Amino acid sequence: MANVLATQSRVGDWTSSAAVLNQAGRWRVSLIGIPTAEFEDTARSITLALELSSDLVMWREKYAIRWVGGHYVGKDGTINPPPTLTVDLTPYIGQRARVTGSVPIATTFGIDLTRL
Amino acid sequence: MGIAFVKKDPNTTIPAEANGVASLAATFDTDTTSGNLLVGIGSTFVGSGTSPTHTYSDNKANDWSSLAVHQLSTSYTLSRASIGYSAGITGGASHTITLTPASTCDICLGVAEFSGVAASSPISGTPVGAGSSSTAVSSGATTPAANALYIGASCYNGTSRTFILNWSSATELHNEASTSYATLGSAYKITSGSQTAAWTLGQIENWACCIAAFAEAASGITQTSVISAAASVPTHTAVILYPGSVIPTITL
Repeated sequence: MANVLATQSRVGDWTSSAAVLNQAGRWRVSLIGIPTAEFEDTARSITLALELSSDLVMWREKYAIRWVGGHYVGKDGTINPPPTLTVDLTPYIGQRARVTGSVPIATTFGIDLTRL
Repeated sequence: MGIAFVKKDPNTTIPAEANGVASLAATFDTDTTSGNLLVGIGSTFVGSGTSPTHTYSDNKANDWSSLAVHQLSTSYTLSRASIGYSAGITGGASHTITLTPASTCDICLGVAEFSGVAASSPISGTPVGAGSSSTAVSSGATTPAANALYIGASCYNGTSRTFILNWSSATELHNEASTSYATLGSAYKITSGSQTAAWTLGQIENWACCIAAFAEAASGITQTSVISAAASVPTHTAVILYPGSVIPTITL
């Protein structure tokens, strides 16, 4: 079941709330609901990174993706399929995870964190 | 000295995966060591057309300008596997390796660190790749000059859910046979002689497979002087020690 950690409506860098990794296995992180209209220009890009921490103080980027416009435009008016990162987080059980990134337009989007 | 596996990332069977993206980056959990070899083993998938070419880079300004080898699946050119490398690296904390295809696509990425590999011009023998439609996935053989690190990479486009390493005595690095992502099989072996990386698919698919060999670093300890405070030694000779050689006796 999808677990939306945060939604934000702003431009630029953003950081999600943190969650404790307490379930082993593969997790999928997606940015959902981003409208396609502003992303027909391939010069625009979206970044998304998964960060891990043991103490909620020191955060380190573990995996990161960059998405560029002009591709994967969904019929529902959003980027669909959405920019998605999938990793097996079993080695990091007990650590905190958060999602960071940047969306270069003012829009509302969601961070979908789903255990596969 | 000898070649040795140090670590891989992700430290799981499944590689890092991302769909519909321009790049994917993975960061080692612990520091990398300067002078070592880093390899990136990646694959890409596109829904139609030709899977784009791959470029690797890192955040330590190391040279990743050359792919060891890459191979496009044949018949349906939707998948591509590659092995990128950087030898004699500048290492350190939070070392990130990024795979950037020439265009947006689905990506699988695994990275690994090895010690004892030649720091310059490490490719040994002729890297080879092959792609076809069958259940037997095979790179073709490479024959390096001497003891070497062999890295194999493979991928396929289709619906097989089993992707079994069939390369005798090789150690699997990553394996992704999901139908939801780009696929990837990667493995390594430290040995000598002719080697062929191989996997077995659950059913006939279009696949790509490649192998590269990296030469062992030259070994030897240079003993530049022998000093004794208890005796007067008018002259001494520099001695180069090689593995297995007899240490000379010095009589004062």
